[in-house]
Amino acid sequence: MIPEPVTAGLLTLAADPLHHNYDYPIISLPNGYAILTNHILMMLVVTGLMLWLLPKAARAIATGKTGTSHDYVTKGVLPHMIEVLCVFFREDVARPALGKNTDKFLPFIWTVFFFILFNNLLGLVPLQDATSLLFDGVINGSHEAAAEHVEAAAPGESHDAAPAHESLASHEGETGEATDHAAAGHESHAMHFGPFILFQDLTKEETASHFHGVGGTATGNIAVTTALALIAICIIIGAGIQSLGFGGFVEHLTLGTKFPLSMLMILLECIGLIAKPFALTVRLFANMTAGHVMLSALLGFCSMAWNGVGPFGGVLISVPSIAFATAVGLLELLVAFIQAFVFAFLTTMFISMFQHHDHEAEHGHEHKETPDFAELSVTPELSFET
Amino acid sequence: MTKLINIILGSLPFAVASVALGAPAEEGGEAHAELLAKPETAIPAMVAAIIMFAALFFLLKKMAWGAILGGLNDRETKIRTEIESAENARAQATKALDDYQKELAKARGEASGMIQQARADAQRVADELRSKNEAELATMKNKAKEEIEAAKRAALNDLYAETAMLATQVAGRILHREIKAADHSRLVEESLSQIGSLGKNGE
Repeated sequence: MIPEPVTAGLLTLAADPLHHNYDYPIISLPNGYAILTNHILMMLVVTGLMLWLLPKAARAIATGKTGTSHDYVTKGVLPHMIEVLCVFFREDVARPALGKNTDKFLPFIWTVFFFILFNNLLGLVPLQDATSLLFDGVINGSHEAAAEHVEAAAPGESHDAAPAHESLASHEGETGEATDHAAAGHESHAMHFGPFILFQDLTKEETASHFHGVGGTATGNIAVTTALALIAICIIIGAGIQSLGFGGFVEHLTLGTKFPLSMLMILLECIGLIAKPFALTVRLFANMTAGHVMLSALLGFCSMAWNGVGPFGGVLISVPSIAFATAVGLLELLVAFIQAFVFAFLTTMFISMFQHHDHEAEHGHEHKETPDFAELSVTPELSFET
Repeated sequence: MTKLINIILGSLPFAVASVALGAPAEEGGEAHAELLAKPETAIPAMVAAIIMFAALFFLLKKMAWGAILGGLNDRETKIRTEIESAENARAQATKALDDYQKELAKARGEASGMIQQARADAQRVADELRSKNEAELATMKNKAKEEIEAAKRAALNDLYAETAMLATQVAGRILHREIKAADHSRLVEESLSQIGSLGKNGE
């Protein structure tokens, strides 16, 4: 397991710090499109966890049936945690912004918050590294094991003559020592399961497989955050049209200005409608990515130092590296909560911006009476950006 | 400081382990930033995220959020009604206390009025009695005085008559002559008037 001393320089040996942020395919269609990736798997796990834990907590939070005052007491650690977060969102985030519409939008806001939170937290568990360490040799190195799972009729059993430690060659039929026995001239490095490709290596031009471990942070995937932001903006616009009517919604975009200016305002507001989900997308993605890049870089120093200056230097460098990585890990824990909060909070604010407020009869008054909306939607971005 | 040392010492085994285990796994890396948003994985991930989020939303709305919202609302209602009833009870108690104090003050006022009235009545009765007694006493005194005066006068008259009689008898004896009846009565009257004037002067 100890790498050979390498003299080629530190940088070439440094791990790719973005390694943990790639969404590696697990099962792909023959055309290369994945049907199950690391992040999809993590989202499935999160979905499962949420469907298991939240209803359990809900039963504890709901009022009991004994008819005594104990009915109103929530019991248990998990229900307490869930309840605190739910109540916080209800009383301190949603109600000041949404007023009587609070309970209508709460299920959506809670779902957004907990979905992102669970994904963020699960992303902090080093599942990818653990599975990589445990199964790297088994999946990337052992051909017999893979061969049992592929169709015997698959014609492309082949490999290149890569040394085992290069760990790029994962063959349908055989790799490593078995490579020597296999027929030469076949160029497929892919593992197949039926028509599907397992662990497809997207960095290769040809179809190839490489196992990188299973795990990761789904919310560190810009595709996932884009999807969440698209859902959010759909709800924001949909709820706005439902509340104000289509005409009212368009009128709202004019901010109460008259004809020539109103066209400009609508244009600007439409840009705002695009900027809002874009900001949501990038904020969450960048925050989750940055944390993992920092962790990778800090921990990467360990192997760099080991390979560069030997075991003594490796350990010497590793101590502060790991200490800092621990600190960053704790910071990441905070960021996981903050980013989930910020996403849900801003979504709530954006929804409330396009809601009809009862106490404001005139559209023009809306902005006079609630100047804090504009501030609120800006302040958290400034204060929680990490 | 101790904590810092603990952290550093605590991270040592991890450092060794990560160097030993992690180094080979991290090897051969070369950044593939294009993997961050490759359509082959990004599009499926996006679709999956939307489907899973929607599924979660609808399932949790049915299985969790409804119950949580219900529980929170129940609790809120319960607390609100409890507070309201407590406030009502307090208002009632305050009102009852006010009423009671008003009644008490009124009763006190009435009682002191009654006492004063009684005192005044008693005083008046006493005064009346006293004045009546005094009047009666004065009347009795006057009457007694008058009676005494009358008795005194009668006694004096008797005394004068007796004295005149005696004097006449004494004088007749002295003179040894018989005084005629006319002389007798003239002498008596003279003596009486003398005595009367003496009695008046001698008083």
